[in-house]
Amino acid sequence: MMAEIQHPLPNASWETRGYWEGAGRGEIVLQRCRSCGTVQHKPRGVCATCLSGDIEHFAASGQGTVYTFTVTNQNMAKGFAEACPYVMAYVTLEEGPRVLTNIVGCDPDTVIIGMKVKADFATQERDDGEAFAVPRFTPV
Amino acid sequence: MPQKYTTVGGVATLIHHRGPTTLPGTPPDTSRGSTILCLHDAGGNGNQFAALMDALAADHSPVAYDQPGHGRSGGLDALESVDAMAGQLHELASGWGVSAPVLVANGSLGAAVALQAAAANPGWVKALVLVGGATDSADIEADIAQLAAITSGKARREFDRSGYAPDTDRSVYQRAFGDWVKTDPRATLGARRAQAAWSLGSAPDVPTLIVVGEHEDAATAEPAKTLAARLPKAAVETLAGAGRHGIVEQPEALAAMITAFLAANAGAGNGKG
Amino acid sequence: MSIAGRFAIAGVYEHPSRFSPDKSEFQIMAECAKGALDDAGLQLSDVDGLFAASMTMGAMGIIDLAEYLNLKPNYLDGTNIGGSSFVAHVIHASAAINAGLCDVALVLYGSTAASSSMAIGTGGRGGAGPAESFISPYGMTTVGSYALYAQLHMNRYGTTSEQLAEIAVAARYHASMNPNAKMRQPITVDDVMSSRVISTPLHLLDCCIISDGGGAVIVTSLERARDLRKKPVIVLGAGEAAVHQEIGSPDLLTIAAKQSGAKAFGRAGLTPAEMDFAMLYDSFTITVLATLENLGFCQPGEGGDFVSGGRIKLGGELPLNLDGGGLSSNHPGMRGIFLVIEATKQLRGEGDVRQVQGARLACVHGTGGTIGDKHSGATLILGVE
Repeated sequence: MMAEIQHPLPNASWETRGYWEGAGRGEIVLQRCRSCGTVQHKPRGVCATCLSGDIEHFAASGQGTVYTFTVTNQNMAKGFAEACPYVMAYVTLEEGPRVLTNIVGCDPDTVIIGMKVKADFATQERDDGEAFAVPRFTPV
Repeated sequence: MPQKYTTVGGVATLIHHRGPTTLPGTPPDTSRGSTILCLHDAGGNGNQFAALMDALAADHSPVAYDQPGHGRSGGLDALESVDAMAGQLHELASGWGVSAPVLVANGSLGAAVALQAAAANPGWVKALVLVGGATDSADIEADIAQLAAITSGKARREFDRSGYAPDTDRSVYQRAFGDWVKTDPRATLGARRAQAAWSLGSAPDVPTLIVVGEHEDAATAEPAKTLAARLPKAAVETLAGAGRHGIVEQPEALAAMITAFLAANAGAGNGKG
Repeated sequence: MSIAGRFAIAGVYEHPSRFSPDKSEFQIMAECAKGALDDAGLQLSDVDGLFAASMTMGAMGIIDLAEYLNLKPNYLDGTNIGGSSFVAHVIHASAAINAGLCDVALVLYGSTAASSSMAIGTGGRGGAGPAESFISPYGMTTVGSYALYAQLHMNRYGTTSEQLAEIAVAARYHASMNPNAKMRQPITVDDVMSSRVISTPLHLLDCCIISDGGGAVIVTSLERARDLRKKPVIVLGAGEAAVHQEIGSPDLLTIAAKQSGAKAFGRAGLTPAEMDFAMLYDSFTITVLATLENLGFCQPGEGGDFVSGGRIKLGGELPLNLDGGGLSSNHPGMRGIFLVIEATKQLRGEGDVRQVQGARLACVHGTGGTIGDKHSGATLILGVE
């Protein structure tokens, strides 16, 4: 049985902190522009569609669908070498944006395009006191 | 540790040596004692002799080199035959004016190249030391089949932990692993195929020391003894505390064994060699 | 004024070595510069525009290179958009010469990826900064990124691994005719299919090799090129593009080639059907298939059929990657320059035993970065008088 993925620790800027703190609370946090209504991810300090700075954050449903995936058998990087084979995927969130992620909590051979998944959050030991977590997805 | 490149047969060849450094494009210094040329096994490289060379450096001029396709020498492939490998060795050393080298060879391919170089150049080689000896042909065919699977992408290469003495320290394995990754299995496969196609013609008439590790498996220890019986001036000695990898497991004891062997054999150890 | 038809490649050189542990990156570049200058019949002192990129040149790297070559150029361009950079450099060089900013442009690449043991395909990607933090937790590798693309393509269109394997087989066949190629033993579809799966659905033999290597290309005006040693290879059309995970979750299967190719063919006034051969970046078999569809050589979804039946082999309708490509000849981390070099040789009639008969028009397309994630595209349409 392969080991759990040990996700490298994410680091935040002022622009992206809302996302990672949200993950720490068990939420997928997305941005919506109050000027033009565009929902965006990755988080930015401005709307990438109209350049307005009037951005609000909201907690998304955490529901999504597998857009594409791959089962990786070889990755020499720390945290992944022992976890092979693991699943890397793009998940399209209900709210529209597409995120890169891992599918966990199931046999890699059972993952299919179009599969319904929901967010799961890996808490991590950090010595900077930040309450972040890493979102990934599991089958519904 | 001093290293330099030289071109032999059009291939950038990495030379490892001891003693004073010399200008690029000029030979390494071989003024101390005997010139001891170190020959690695298939898939190996000259850096494996580092500790042994350190131990020999005070009294002799040890030199190791990486064969084409191996270690940090250029080329993608091993030379095609043991004859070509022996020829490269002779070309390299003669180019430096080395007239009576001692050949210290590791593993079964190293031994083959050393024996071929001695046999093909009568009167040139002063003495032979063969360590981690001969492998019988059944093993080599399995080795070749595994390497062929690796090079065609069907199997992953894996570091071989076998052949070491039980007490050999982890640090020895770690260094051995670092040397092992340097050579593409494609070159190792080519070298083993060259070895499988070679056989010893007339036995060279040269003082030969065959070193068998105390913990060396019968699969390699027995053929080593059989080889000794074929050579007119061969003796077998046991290297305590070592398996098949004496050059990295017991470099100082091996150096002492070599120095004593050279001293006991006419002319070795004195003057330019 | 448009650059189309007025600028040419006047000299090329590809480094013959695939493993050079005794050389530095800049030394490889310099050896290639000498080769290309000799090819053109020029001197280093003729060069007044310097264009280069590599895996290790950072900010100011182009100045370090100018020092190594003892050059004081009037024009500098260190654009690095991944492996396509050098295709873009030819475009930028044409534009710079067109604007009167330099006369003789030297484009350089060199790499010791293999002898420096860079795990280009399967080392983890993504650093630890805020932007990379959306990638790095998830075990993204280069192979993995291309695998995401391939998986979707197979799901949507029924493309098969056997069809992808045809691309690898064709590349190896061409490499078998290239004395400098790293891998020259012909392979079959079965050989590809039985090689181990690195990241589903890509096998080891669907992936490019790792080698050392380098190349140089010299660009001048067409007038100047006509006075030099070799037949000028003329830039007829050019285009660049970038693809990323833009807002609105675009179709992953649309790659930069769609945008850059449309520009290049449009500006040249030519169509894919008129090309005699193509040099398409082949970091992986899927890269070639995606590029064929996005450039318009076939419809989306038809790539699998297109590459089957010998169409892309020498002698077929659209031979690809006559040097053996990144799949079999060389791939030192970035290989766009080799696309330009081989295309130039073919159009000059210097293809030797792997010459495309009657070759007069070629499409060159470089992909930089990874499809399935951020990448660039740069397309050139090249021809001869």
